Amino acid sequence: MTPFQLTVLAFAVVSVAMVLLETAARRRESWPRLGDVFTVLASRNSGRFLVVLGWWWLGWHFFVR
Amino acid sequence: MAILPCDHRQNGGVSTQTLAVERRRRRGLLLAGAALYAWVAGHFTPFTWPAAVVTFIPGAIGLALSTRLPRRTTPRQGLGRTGWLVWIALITMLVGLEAYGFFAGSSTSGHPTVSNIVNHGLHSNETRALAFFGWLTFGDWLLGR
Repeated sequence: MTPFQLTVLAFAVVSVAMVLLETAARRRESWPRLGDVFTVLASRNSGRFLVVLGWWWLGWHFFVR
Repeated sequence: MAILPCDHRQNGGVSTQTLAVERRRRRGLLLAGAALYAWVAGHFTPFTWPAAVVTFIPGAIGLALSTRLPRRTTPRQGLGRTGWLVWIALITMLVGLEAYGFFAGSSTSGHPTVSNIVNHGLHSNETRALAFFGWLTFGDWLLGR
């Protein structure tokens, strides 16, 4: 297996795990969802600013460079 | 005009039902505007200044609003520790993989970043417009946190 295939596989595994965790969290009230993670990260103004800055960088990364 | 559901008199004589309809109408207009903007943005080629401008504008607006907009959600209490730890582990892995790919040269043959992987899907104007719309709605969702 090439390094490229290994990296793509690792990204796929992490992404699928996130989807499974989100699905599980929606069935159990005591488990945090992705929305809870971002709500906590953005609970302070500085955190919210950094979260939005990360979102901006993501857009720049995909659509500009 | 008040935007939260409250007593009839607190809304200046406007019913909560009217406010809900108005809120839905504004939301619909915002979505339609975002879709139109994304459709236009999707037609600009990456690495050009128009693509930079159409990506810069929503980012700058989002950053300006990030410290001003009221929050639409509050942190839920009593959530299990295991769930938090699993989220932290997965997000760390995702960021780690992206950083590793980035510093290892970010190529389509060696260690790719997320953008190297999804670039194939962003070649056509339609998919780029769809992805741009997804990015805008994700930003709106984040601003509501």
